[in-house]
Amino acid sequence: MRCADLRARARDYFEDELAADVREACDAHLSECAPCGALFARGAALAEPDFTQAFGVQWRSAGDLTCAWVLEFLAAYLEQGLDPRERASFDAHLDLCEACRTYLTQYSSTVRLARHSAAESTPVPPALVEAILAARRAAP
Amino acid sequence: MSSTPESTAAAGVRERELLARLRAGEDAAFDELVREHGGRMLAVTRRILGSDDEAQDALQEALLSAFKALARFREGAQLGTWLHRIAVNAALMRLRSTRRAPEHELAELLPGFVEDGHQVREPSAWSAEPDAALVSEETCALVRRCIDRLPENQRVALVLRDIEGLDNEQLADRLGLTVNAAKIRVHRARQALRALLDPYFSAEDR
Repeated sequence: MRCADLRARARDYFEDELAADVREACDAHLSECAPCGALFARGAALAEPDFTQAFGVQWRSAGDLTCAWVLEFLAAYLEQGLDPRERASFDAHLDLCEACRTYLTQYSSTVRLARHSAAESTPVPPALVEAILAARRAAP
Repeated sequence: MSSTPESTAAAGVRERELLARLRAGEDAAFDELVREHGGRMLAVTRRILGSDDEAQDALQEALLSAFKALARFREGAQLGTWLHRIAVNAALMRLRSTRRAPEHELAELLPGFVEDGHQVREPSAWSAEPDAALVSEETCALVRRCIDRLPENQRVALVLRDIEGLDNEQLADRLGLTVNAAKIRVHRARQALRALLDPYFSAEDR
């Protein structure tokens, strides 16, 4: 998660409106990024319009989401793990961004291909069959 | 091939008979079980371990432990499903008990971003969007080879989640991770696999 993605979510963060995945990602960023940590430490106490000024965002819109954020939460999006507002922003970004649409299609194809390509059965070498049966007979 | 109620019932009768012979210690019954179920079990251990030798060792361990546990097999359960679970366990046990080579993170397989959050290299559409239902055996083999190239921890997560069908909670439990960490690992594995497949499907490279 990037600083801009975190800050765009500040309001939802403080109002506890984030999906669990997203909240955990925000907390992970906050634990590693000192400037964001300092900003969020005082952010909860700020009133409008100081809050808007401090975070540099008014409200989340499609433009607030970066490709980095979208690609980080693709799995949550596909598994219906985003809350309705996050999902709406995600959809709005996809409408605008061909690169992310392409990536999403390929990501979904990758999952289907992995599932479909799995070998159902692999020939067991005859010597291994014999070894297994011999080991059974020798077992106490 | 779809199974009819009659063929399912016949298979159930056959399985109960096989089980009775196994419990009676009949050598031919063990031979039959290994030949009938060994191939599917080996495919599972091979997927998880990524090596033929280790997969064969895990199969042997799985079958020997299944033989010992036959008395505990619950009547009415499916023998194949039970053996499949034992094969997964044997492979995971082997992963935990053997010293693994240090893993190389495949950072180049994850998308990179410029300062404004856009992708460094925008993906080009895959020429023939692979329809999983129609892909050839050749393509399946290619996908399997790419899965084998994933770092081990990613390969295992992807196999258990996307092929063996564990949900996120079960995966986290089996790998000793938090649910969130398990989800992230699967996501990274899918991203890395997408990048490995990209040169083969990308229209630009054709």
